[in-house]
Amino acid sequence: MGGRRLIYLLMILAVGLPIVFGISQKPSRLVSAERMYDVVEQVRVQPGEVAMIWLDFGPNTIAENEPQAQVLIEHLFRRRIPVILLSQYQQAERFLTKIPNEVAQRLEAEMPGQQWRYGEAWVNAGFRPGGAIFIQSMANAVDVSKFLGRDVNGMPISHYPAFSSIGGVERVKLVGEITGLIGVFDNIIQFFQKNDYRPTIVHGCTSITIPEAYIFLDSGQLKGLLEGIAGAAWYSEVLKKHFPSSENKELLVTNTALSAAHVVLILLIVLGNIVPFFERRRANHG
Amino acid sequence: MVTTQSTDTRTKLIRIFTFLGGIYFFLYFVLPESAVTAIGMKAHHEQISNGFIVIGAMALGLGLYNIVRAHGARVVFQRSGWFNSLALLVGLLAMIGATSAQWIENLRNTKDILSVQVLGEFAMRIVEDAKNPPTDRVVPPFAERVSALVRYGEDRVSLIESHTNVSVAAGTNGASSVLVSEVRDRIAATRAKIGELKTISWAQPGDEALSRLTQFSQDAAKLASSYSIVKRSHDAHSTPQKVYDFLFDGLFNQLGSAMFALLGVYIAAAAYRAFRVRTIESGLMMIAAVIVMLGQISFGKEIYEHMPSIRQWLLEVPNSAAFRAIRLGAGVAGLMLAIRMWLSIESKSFSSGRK
Amino acid sequence: MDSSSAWSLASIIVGGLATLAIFSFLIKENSFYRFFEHLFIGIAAGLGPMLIIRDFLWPNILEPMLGLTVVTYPDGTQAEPYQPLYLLYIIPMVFGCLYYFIYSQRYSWLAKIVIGFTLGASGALAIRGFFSEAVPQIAGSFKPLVVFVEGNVSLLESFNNILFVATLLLVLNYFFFTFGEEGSLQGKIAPVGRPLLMVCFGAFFGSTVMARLALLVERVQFIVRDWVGAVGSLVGIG
Repeated sequence: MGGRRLIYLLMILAVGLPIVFGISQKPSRLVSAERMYDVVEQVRVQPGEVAMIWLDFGPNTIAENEPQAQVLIEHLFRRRIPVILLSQYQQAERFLTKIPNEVAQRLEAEMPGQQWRYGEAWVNAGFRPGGAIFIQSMANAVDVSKFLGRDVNGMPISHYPAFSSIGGVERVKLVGEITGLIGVFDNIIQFFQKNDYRPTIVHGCTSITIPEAYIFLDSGQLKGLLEGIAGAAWYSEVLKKHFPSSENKELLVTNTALSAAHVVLILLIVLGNIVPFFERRRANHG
Repeated sequence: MVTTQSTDTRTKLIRIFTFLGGIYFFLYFVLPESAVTAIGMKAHHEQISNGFIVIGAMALGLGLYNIVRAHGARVVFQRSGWFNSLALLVGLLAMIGATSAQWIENLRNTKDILSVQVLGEFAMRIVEDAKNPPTDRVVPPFAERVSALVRYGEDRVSLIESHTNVSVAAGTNGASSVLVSEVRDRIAATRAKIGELKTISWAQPGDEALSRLTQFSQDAAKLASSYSIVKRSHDAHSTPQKVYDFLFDGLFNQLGSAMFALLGVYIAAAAYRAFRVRTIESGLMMIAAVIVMLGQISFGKEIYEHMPSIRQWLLEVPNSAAFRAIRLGAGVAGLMLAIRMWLSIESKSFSSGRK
Repeated sequence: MDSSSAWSLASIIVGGLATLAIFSFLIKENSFYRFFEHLFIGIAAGLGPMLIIRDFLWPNILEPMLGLTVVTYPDGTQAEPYQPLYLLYIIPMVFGCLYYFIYSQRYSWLAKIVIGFTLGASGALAIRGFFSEAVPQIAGSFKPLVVFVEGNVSLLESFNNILFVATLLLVLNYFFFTFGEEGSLQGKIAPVGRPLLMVCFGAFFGSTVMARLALLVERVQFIVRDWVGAVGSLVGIG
């Protein structure tokens, strides 16, 4: 009992110390995040074309999914690609408002005189129940903006000039799915397509679903992947390389704390194997 | 007493409805697009899909009823743990109340913003109707419509002005001063345009008059756009919104994150106690786990420069292949289950029609 | 302090207390933890139904059905006429209400009709879902076993592809429980799939560790950075 609590304390200390002292290290290079950066970078939009980002996470995976959403939205905002934000998961509702607002404020502070306004840079289409039924219906809609109808404030999305006449899903140039839920991710992979068209899909996954997400990367159903916090941290590094004013200190501290916790956990596994071995030996000799 | 005959009828009815539930989507996906369009499925697909969602949405009261019944009884009869049940019910009612208040506030503000947007749209509609007089509906005489537009315009501009002033005076305006001055500039521009509209004779409108109306429409749309941002920014500081944010950010979000964070320490304890290498297979598992862990952290490359690349290879090649096999196997099983479910083969007890 | 800052401060302080209450479970289960656990369930249960009404039933169904989306211009004309077809939504609404018969002993079979209907729709969607997911997966598994790069054989890529295809087939073979006689080739090579599966599970474990630790990092970060700072500013230290 006491040993277990000692492990708990050790883990909390391993995580807490880098945070208290603000220690940050360069994150590990993740090729999948680099590929995703290139995919987003290659997106070219004509007037009326948009990106669509699904934020399908709640408090249970906010630790990993929020930084991913932040870096992806930041990249799209920097490139002035209009973004539709929406969710299949009701617990994400608040993040649809909070995250783009925070990113916009950060960018406005970084570049005085420039603005990222709601209705121009992004719209929040809110929580959409129905899962697969809703998604297949949208994929077959004649006009996505008319199909979505109203934003979370009750305003018709077609009233915002940047989103007034999107047309069919072919005009959604990038689909981003940020989630740790396999079911909602499957809905996008399986139903956000037409018989003759499959959009470019990128995915921010929680670490637990990384091994599964790789099979979609291999088949080309996914074009880019952000792997947990580490993926967001490396994406942020790449973003900083191209946009030097991009700030990512906090994310790097988080990633360093995560790394420290990993090291302690690996040591615990090693100890967990060595200690019983010596105990057995001592018992045999005794 | 339920007779065998009525049970059989119910069984058939349940099976028929189960089959009908699936046949629409099955046909929609299987039939060629030309056939789907020809029989009208494509044109009404959105509404029909919404209908399916509505059926599911109507079940929203089931969970609420169960929770209120179970925990309400515990509170009323002061059974063991009644205080916790009370906390649950308070949380439930607080969230319903806060979301409702925020929603009602939002609806009211949206109504205001839409009423301003109507200004530009109405001006544009007058122009369109003047160019192509409608045949399917009756519209009032042109001069009368413009006069209504002018009156409505003056009223809305005054409303925007007063709302913007209230917003600034309240000192809770999150919008930048640039935005407020932009709204004020646009109010002035729209007022000027309204003044111009008053001077024109609308009995015989020419191209120039119509073009002024078009310009007015564009100015009004810009005003509505700026106003909506100022208004929303002001509303973000309203009490219902703050209460909602407090419940979501201060309680729901924190409690949800904390509960799952417990797993972070549990996995460490489990790794120490249970991850023992006793066979070659468990050794392989540990090697793969350690490579993946070291490859994804900052310190990994300090131990071995190519650690991230080895991790990448491990995930891309052996992991992807094995996981794909698992997923394909599970997928085929899922497919069989779906077919059996749709054709009511899966669960005889469900479709039996018994109570 | 303005009202916005006060709300934010309250949010952080209460959030920190809530987090510590949940973390107190690590010492032992206690009433402080139970209280906040129930509060969380209550808030979550209240949020779901409200959002379904606010974000779907009202704007997509009820508003158009009641004609509230029809814009009336200042001269009394309408932007577009009311669509009476929206009234047809009453049918799924009434049909969906059959769910509530589940509470009736006598008529609970009526609820089975709507549950069956929903299951049927899910089944048909799952059939489509399987094919649109699995076809690219299967197609992506047909990898060239010998890869040429600029006219030369790429040993590394060829090895990777051979390993990929072999792993896929061996793991698939491992899961064939329903056919293959004892002593057959399929039965003999089945055990080879096990160590390959273990490599996959190892990768899965490594990833799970990161997922779980990330949650802990986020909470500790909140307590150390936000909560301690907020409490400090409240008691006048910060």
